[in-house]
Amino acid sequence: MSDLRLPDINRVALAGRLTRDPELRYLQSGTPLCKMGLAVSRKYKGSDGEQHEETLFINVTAWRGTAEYCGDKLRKGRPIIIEGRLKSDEWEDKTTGAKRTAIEVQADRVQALDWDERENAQQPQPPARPSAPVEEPIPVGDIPF
Amino acid sequence: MTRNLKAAWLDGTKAFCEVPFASDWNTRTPNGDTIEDTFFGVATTWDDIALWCFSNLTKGAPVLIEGRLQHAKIGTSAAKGHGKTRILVTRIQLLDEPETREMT
Repeated sequence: MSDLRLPDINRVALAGRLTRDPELRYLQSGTPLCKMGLAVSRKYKGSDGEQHEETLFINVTAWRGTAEYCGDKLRKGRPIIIEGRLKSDEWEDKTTGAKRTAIEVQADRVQALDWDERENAQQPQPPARPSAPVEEPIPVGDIPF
Repeated sequence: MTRNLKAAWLDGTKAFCEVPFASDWNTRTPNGDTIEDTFFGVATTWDDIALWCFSNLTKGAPVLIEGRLQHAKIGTSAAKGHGKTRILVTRIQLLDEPETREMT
């Protein structure tokens, strides 16, 4: 085998909409994790000349601060962009005994692509500007006569 | 690459090849230990890329893959979300010279 140093490259970037509300949980160690479902659509022109659309459904896991952000701020249907790496999971099907594999994304960056309407609704509105300037009353003791 | 390749020709014209690969990286745990994690995946290639892979890649070959994730439905199930995620390759590059590698 050659002595090549393989680059540690496992990067994925996806933009799509959340298919369910994020589930924020805490491990016994207190580490937060958040599981989400993401749908990523892609439009393309097929060999028949027609427009087609395919959708990728994938599970995403975020950890620590990113997990808490997702659990607090994100909801089903919101558009987000994520960066992370692929993670494989292998298990045995209890009914058939067959080996099953699945891919998920471990997100290290998650960003919402719209403004949180709930946040905007809760933000206090700035006080209305008075139509005429209000003069501060002068304390009685300061009047020289 | 974790296994040698098997090519398939669909409809007698369209070449298809699955490229099994493993990707390692080191990660640091909260208590400061460094652990190695490995992602095992299968990359799907079609047409010219599939033919190139079948001709040039063998088990152990270091490769750089670019592509996109695709949702493949299992069987006839049209249920939303029911299926398998696969990696569809748009570009693949060999990272060494084949003659420097031990053939397996």
